[in-house]
Amino acid sequence: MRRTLAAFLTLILLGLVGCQELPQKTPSISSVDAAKVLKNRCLDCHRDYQNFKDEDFIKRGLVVPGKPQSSFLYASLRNSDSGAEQTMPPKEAGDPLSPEEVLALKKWIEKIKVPEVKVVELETFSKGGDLLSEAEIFSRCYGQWLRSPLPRHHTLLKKIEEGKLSGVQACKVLLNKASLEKEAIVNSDEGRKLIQTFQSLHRSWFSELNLYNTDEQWGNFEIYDPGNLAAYFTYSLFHSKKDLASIFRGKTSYELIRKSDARREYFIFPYQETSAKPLKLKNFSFGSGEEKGEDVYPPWKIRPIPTGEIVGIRPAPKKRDILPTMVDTRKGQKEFHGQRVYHLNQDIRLGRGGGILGDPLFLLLNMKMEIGKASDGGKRIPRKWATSIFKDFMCRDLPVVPIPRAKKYIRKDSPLSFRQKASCVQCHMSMDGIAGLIRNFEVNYSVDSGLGRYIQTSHIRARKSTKTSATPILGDGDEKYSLEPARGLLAFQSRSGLYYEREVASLEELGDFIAESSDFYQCMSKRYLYFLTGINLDLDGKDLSSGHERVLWQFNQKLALRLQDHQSLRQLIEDIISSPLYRDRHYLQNMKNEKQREPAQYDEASY
Amino acid sequence: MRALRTVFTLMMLFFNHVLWSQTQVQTRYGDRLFVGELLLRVFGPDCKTIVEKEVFNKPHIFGGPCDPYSQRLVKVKEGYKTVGPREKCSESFFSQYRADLIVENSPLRSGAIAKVCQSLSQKKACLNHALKGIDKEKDSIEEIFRLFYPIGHERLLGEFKMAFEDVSRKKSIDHKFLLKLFCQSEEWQIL
Repeated sequence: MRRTLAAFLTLILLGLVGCQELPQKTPSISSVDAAKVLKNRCLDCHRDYQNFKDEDFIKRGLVVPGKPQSSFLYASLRNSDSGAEQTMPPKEAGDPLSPEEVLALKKWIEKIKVPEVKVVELETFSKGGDLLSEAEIFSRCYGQWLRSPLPRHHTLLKKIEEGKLSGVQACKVLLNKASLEKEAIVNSDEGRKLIQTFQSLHRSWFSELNLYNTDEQWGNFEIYDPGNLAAYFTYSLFHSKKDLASIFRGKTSYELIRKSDARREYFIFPYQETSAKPLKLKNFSFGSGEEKGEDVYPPWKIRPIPTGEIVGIRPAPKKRDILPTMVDTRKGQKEFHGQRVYHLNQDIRLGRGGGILGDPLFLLLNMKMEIGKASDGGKRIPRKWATSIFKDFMCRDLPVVPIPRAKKYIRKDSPLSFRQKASCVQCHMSMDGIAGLIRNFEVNYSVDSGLGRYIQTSHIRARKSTKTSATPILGDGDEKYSLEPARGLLAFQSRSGLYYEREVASLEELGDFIAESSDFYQCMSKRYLYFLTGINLDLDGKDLSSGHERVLWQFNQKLALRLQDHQSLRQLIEDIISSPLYRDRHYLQNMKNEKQREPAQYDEASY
Repeated sequence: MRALRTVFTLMMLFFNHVLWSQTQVQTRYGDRLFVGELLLRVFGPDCKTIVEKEVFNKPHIFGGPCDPYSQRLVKVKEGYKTVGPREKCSESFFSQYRADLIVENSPLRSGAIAKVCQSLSQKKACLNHALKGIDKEKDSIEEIFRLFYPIGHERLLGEFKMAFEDVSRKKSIDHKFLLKLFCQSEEWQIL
């Protein structure tokens, strides 16, 4: 506590004193050219850089090895091509860096290698010396990943006892049992349990799984499985050629392959108060509203979502689940315009770009818009979708921009109260900004009515852009808004402090941004760290927290850096289970005890 | 006045940040599937009803969400029943679907473990299944301990042996007592 207070006061003092010209030495980094640039152009204000080596820049989140665009030091340079806000050196301090100087820093960062995951300070908490044996390490991962106790006569256990495998190696072999590279279906019982467990883990990351949210769309549960969203991650984990960033690319969605010995006769969702007489699937139709009279809809022979034990994952086949017709409202709903019928032959599984961001299921779960109503850019905006992107993929709650950034978007003359105050705009500029990318989408029905033998389901329909861009992204509401080409505002400050404020034109572009963002990788490693060790790290508490939190934050940052580089969830797991966190029986207890002590020994030097 | 308000807000934010750091270090317990499967392995398949009721069907106490898409409803003589793998839901579709993956130990969990261990050791078939492989010639403490801790945990075993050193020298310790004791111990649930 005293130390953090001192740090706070130091910060204030530094702010008051400002930059001073003091004798400087050249930083000992791996590039002579970059060191010269830092000395000549940065050290006047950033004097601490003179003592830094490459790893110090990495530790402090200033440099992402191999990725200048994501590195705070490079991205915030005036004249850099990063897309982030560029303020260095400040205008009052002189000219921007020359192209040669910028290039020197870029080349230096590009050549820095991702550090080993070992964090020396992690050993600090390993005091008891009561380490798990190799067999116990395997028993631990087996229990966690299969949620079954390890059989005493397991072949991998024997190999450990014979000294042919280490515990971590056996865990790796185990993980390979769910490999999806050759076949989409996993045949072994252990492989299936692995997929089921990790599928459960990945599903828990999504903040919204309830399809029952608009106008009694309970039929949605019969044709969509919310767990299919988690399949993006599970597929990446068990398919070595699917790097993590691919989750945010393309239009392919994924589906779980399930198997059951029982016939599927009834609905999944218990629609009735009593289960005495459950509803039979064959008595209902998912499509084809009116077959005669003035409204003739072609029949829809949708295959209800498979149920049963998860046995594999595959990319959803294209053109299989084609919905012939959609209607944008029920007949007779006076608050709407007259019902419009769209014969689109739409593939209900096909994504809209940007991988999971434009997955029809992710959109449906998060749109939270009334049926038949598209965004107006004012009151009516699919904000939940935007909020879920920050939360589900980056572990960020709004606001993700600081208040001063919001000021330029404040409009006192707006009829909408949330455009008038900085504290509101601070969140709305990020939410409403990226939601502009799905301005053309609205939720429609598959049939006219949910009554009788027809089961209504809801689907995303894209309006055609018929207008040119004219309305502001953060506007007051205009019916033309949803008819303009999609474009959004990305307003976001990363945890490392990089600030982005720019227009984005497609979901693919937004996906690329997230896939490059360090926040995404930190979020992933934090979640795996929790699953494997029980440590639920507060990613936002890095600077002023206790000793063990700082060490953990540093460890998580290294895991994230490596993940961003190797793009493999399997490697991330290996990194974690190879650490003392996983091996020491009393690690957590030591850490808990540490939390109660004043962390005086963890000063800045040891960090 | 405005400056004062800003300073006050900044101070509140600062102290909020320092004093209420959110990092949580919790012991990583196995979920309902792990706990249930280990108990079934020890006490045998005849005890499935007890384990199902007291462990598998309690995701909120032991952790481990259910998957409603893993199950199917089928007609049986008495009406209808849900069939499916171990991840099927027992009730309340959504609350179990969203149950936590990992749940820390709690009085509720300890109570539930005590209850299921008591029920299992009271049922003759379960008790017999658990103790049938115990070699009477060997150290009964270790033999029964190994039912729940098949691998490692040497230090814990040593502690148990030491605790019973005086008693075991005079007379043999009741197997049922040992079974219940190890069943209710916490460490085998930790992963």
